[in-house]
Amino acid sequence: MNAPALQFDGVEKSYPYFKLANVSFELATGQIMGFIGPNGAGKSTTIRILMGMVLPDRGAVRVLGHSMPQEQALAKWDIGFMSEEMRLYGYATLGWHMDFVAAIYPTWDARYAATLLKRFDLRREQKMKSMSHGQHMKSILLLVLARRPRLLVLDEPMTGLDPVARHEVLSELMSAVTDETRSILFSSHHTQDVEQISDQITFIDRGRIIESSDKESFLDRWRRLQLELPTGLQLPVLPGIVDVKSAGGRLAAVTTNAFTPALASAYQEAGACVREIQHMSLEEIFVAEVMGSRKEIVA
Amino acid sequence: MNRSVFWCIVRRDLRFSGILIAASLILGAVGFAFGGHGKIGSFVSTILLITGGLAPGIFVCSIFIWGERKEKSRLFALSLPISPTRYALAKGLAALLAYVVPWTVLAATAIVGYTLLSVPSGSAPLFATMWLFLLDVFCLFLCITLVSDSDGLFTAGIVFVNTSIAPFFFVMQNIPSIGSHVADATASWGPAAFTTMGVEVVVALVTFTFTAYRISRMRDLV
Repeated sequence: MNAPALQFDGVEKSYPYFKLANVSFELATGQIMGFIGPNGAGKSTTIRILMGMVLPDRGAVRVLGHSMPQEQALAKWDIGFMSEEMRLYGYATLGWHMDFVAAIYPTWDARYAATLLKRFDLRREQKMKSMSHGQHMKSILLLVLARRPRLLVLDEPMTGLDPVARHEVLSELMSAVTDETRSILFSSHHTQDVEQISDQITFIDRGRIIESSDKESFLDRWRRLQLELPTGLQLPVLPGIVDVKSAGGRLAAVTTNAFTPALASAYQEAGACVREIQHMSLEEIFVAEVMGSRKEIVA
Repeated sequence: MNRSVFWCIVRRDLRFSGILIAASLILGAVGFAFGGHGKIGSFVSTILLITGGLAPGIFVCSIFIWGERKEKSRLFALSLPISPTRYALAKGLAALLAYVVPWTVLAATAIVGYTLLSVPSGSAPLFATMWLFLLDVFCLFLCITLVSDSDGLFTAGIVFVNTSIAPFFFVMQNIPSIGSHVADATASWGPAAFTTMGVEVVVALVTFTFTAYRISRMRDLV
């Protein structure tokens, strides 16, 4: 098995109105992790701890074999970081930024940078302050990708982009991940973007990791069963049921995170008619996970 | 490797500060040219020298340190292979150089004028105390922009910069051993001037030490 590209172990960070609690997960080399959470869930704080910009109160973080934040200057030679909040220097041109980054990174690929410049329809001589948000994000992605980092850390890179820019950015990311030694951590609250490129999914909500697993496992395990119930039938309590919604007493939608054919059989044996077994999208799984986790906390 | 990123950041800031450094030198030079041309000339000279001796430094801190934080371009800088502490030190060094170089050139010009060009040097103690005071004001403002996230403190810093010079000038002019010899042909360096300058040097050193200490203890830079 490949050594992890990054590891979080029991990381905690407290602010007056927010706490990141016992965050533990890892990303294997060559894998792409979708890091999904609602607004304010703790995605950006986690990523800033990963980048050494914020110091955790407790826990350990290792990135590309380096202990963070102590060895961040070494680790960051191989990390490409992009954030929706990040801005380049407004009074400088994109060309100046390209030269600046090229002067720092010996891995800078000038030919690839020129290709990206054309592909993204950007101009070297244009000042950053005159660029739209989409152009700004594409410029940052150019600077990140052309240095050929081993680990890409993308914090909400699609936020605020129009559909065309989203497509361009996503396409470039997908071509960038053909390199099997490159790992990507991709945070978003838009599950559709993440679903397209991720191997692994980690859900975070209110500063806690709810679940971290490979994408196929999520999609395989989660199902919604549409049931028709005879009058007066009480559904049996079965393991892995996350949510039961009844509509008018005769119909029920059962959501499970541990689907097996035996589950449908168990409902049928109890007298229910299983009308449909539906696959769930990552977005539906995400919402169900978050709502389930919040119910547990309240309980 | 880390060292090169440090100097890349310093060079970058100095390059973009070039116009402010030039502005400082031009304002100072014009200020010197107006000196000795009667009361109005001296007034204009003082205004230009104070402006040239402080304003560009304040702009450097506001644009390249505070402005970068507000515009989130600090996130970009911190994604580079450098630790937050060394990044903050690089920013501090660049701002200091951008300020101290023209400040020193203008101070040296004044010394040359007083000593070699037979310019009446009665105003030298007032100039020296004022010039060091400007350095103190810059150091305090640099400290605020480097170690604080507070908009309120930044605003207070701007207010302090704008309101502190006139009272200081007033106080210095009303110290007899300094203010009453301004028009003399030769400087009279009394204990008041040396004490004031000594205090100003200590304030600058303490501010630097405090700033470096706070930078080394900073936990979160974004």
